[in-house]
Amino acid sequence: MTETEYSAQVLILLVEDNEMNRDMLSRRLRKRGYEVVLAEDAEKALEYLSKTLPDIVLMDISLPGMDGLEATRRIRTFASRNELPIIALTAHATIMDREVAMQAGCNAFETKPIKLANVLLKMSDCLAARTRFREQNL
Amino acid sequence: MTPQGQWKSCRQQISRLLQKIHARTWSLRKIMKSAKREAYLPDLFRVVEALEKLKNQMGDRTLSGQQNKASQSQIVRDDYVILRDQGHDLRNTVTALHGFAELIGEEITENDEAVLLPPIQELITLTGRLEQAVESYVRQLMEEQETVAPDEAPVATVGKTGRQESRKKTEKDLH
Repeated sequence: MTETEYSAQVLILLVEDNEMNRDMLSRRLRKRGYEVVLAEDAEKALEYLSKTLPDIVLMDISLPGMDGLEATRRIRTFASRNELPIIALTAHATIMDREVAMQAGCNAFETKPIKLANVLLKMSDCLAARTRFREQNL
Repeated sequence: MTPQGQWKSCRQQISRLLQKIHARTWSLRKIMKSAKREAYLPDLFRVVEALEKLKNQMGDRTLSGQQNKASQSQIVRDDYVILRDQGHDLRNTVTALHGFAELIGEEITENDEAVLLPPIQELITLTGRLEQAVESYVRQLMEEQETVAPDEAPVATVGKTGRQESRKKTEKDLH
């Protein structure tokens, strides 16, 4: 399925503490047809996730209070949130940082400065993988 | 070229790009006003704000390339400060800067505002180059931390070598 085919039906939870980036990224995603819900910290993201299941989470790692890695670990403790694709958006650039994010439960990793085309590609990959997983487990 | 020479070159490149972007942003603002396209101005102001923030974060001393008289340890300390205190904000700001420039570009294209397209495309190109320059600079500094002598590292070392500790701190503090 292409990005365009996905976008009309995809709900994204964007967890980002930087107000400018939150605004910029959410507007660019909405312009492409995605529905975007915003959370400025991990606590608000977890609260939202306790009630609603989005299609994908874009998770900033450096957040005030609980960081994105800990939030991801907590999300993975909910059985119903195990398949939820989580893409780490982070200023951490090393291979070790990537491994730590993956071990915490992230499905993909995008370093800042963020390139939107890369994020969209990774979102498509994650959503396709989730679809395949669901089909195999029907 | 020595690592110090490369850093200086990177800083000068970033400084030149910031000055160019600043000038282009203000001329674009004038074009938008004269063309009565005020709808784009709030986003353009955000680009300007992000740019000012970036310039302040990097600091004139760090970016001016006037570190010729500074000692090697002073240069290393300055570069540690960038990584430790400003790395995260810097990357966020560059992301916002380039993102807003692209966002304005998308809207101008959608609305068929041909007169505004060349200057905004130039801004997108410049902010993209700034993004690459900052990435290159940060990557070089990170690589260099692995070879910094323990007595030059400004981080207290207890139970670890200066190299191990400084590497750990560099990675951790890039958040």
